[in-house]
Amino acid sequence: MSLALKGLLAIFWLIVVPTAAGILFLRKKEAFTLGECFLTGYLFLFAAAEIMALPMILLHVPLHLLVWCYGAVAAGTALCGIFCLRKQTFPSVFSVRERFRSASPFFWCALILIAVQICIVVYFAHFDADDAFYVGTATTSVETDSIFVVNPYTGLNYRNLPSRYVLSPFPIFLAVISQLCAGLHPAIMAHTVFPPVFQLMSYLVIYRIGCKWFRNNSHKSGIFLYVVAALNSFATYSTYNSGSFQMIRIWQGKALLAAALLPLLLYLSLSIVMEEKPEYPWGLLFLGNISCCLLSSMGIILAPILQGVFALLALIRFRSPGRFLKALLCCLPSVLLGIIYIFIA
Amino acid sequence: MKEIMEWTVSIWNSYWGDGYVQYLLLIAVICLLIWKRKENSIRQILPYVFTVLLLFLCPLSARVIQKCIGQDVYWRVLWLLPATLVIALACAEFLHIRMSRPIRFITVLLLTGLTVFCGKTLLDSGQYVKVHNYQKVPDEVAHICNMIREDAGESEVCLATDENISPYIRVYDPSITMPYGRRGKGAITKNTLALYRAVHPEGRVKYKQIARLANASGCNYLAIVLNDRFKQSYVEQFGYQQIGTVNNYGIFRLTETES
Repeated sequence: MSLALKGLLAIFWLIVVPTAAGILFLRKKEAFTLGECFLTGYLFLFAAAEIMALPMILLHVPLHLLVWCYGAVAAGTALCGIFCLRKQTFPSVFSVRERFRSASPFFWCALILIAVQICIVVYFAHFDADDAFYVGTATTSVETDSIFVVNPYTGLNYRNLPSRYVLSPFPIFLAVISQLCAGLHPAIMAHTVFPPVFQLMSYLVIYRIGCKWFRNNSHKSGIFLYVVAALNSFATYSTYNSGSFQMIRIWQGKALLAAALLPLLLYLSLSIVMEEKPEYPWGLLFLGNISCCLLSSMGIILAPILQGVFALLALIRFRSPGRFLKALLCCLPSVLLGIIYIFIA
Repeated sequence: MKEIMEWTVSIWNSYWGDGYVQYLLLIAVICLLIWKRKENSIRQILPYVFTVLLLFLCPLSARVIQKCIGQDVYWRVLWLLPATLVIALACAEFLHIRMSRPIRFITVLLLTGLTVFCGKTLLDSGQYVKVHNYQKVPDEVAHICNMIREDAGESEVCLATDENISPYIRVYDPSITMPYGRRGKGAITKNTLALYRAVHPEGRVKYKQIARLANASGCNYLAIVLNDRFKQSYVEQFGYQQIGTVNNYGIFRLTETES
């Protein structure tokens, strides 16, 4: 199959399916946008990938089985999402023209900056030796139709499961998506397809935060988005900060965690835990926690710290033990995986 | 306690590197606290920022977190600090004060200039290069893999090479196996460990030793940097024949196993 057709499949599995799947989780909201659907869809799909992959890794199930399962779940959820699109929500979801009309000049400057960033990450290459493990695991899994059986460094079988990475199998997600895109080489998927999609995800999160903080003030939210884009464009003053990770290696789980999922978790915490009336269902926070666990072992630690801080702040602000407990319950996946990690290690 | 504090401060300095963004963050926080502390957005985000900073700097919490994630990567806790968001929030709040369009435009230009000064651009940082393969690995890795695969056909390939290209070989072509990976990881026998050390010597490269150990490790291909001292006989006596070169690398195929 030609590269162009594989690219179309990539757009389908990485943009269309998550957006459609996200509608299912927002259907009870009065109004929601395509961007919110996209982000919510990814929260669900990442969480689903983590829940499906972990038992399959321990049971040494072949990769193609995980591909079928993930494909079925993702496609099925997307179909359900489309069926849930009611007549009254359709206009609000697709009211893009109005939003662009009211956008400030700074918003357009931000879009130009973001487009330049995406062109750079697509057109140029960044060599990162960590790819030896992360992308190497994906290419090895595809080559051998197995999950964490073969060492990506050598091509020989593992003596023991790599305990540090097994609980956060984002490279396996890369392998699954590559196979769903008619066998697109995982390195091409990682280095050329993932970056623009995840950059889009990251900036959508920033945009949502801006919309939340500056309700109905398009000028302020335009300035907000522009300044973030400008700061990210000049973020390579060190190799440690999240902006640098976002710009340089967003295809890696830990970079995506820093660039998109932690800010998304922040947004959800502000919108659910810190609001008198939560703007989204609590379940999204739970899915967000699991998604962070998929991306990186850092997510297993950092996500509950973030959520724990907001739980504490909410307890001080609202003095509601029920809200505090709900917020802590959303950290349960990280706690469980942390305990499992201790046993495996 | 003192050690943890010193390590934490060094981590903080490393995180911000050559830039001055941490000072932009400080100015943003102070301005928001003085003039905009009653805004709902500021009342939500600033307590979070202070709590994260407290967790990062406090020796007790630092020790617990370092036990969980490791001391070397403790800087990743700063990913929880929404520095960019707070700076942008301050800019959005203050740039929207009533000012004429020309003044606002000049202010935005000045702000952009400040961002440029405090940071470092993507392209200048040397992080991006242009390559000519879709997998976006170094071009010489792609050429080496293609050359070896063309030579080997459908046969199994076990390639020994150095740290400059070994991380990318199996990213490009996972059908090629290796005796060791990045930093020698995956080397499980005495021969493969010794081979890794021979390929990355502290002193002079000993080609005979590399060829002997590669043969003993079951490597039917070698890709090694050739210097002025190299002679074909060094590797031929262990059964390796040169099949080509890619930049400074000589590519060799094992034609007979050492008896």
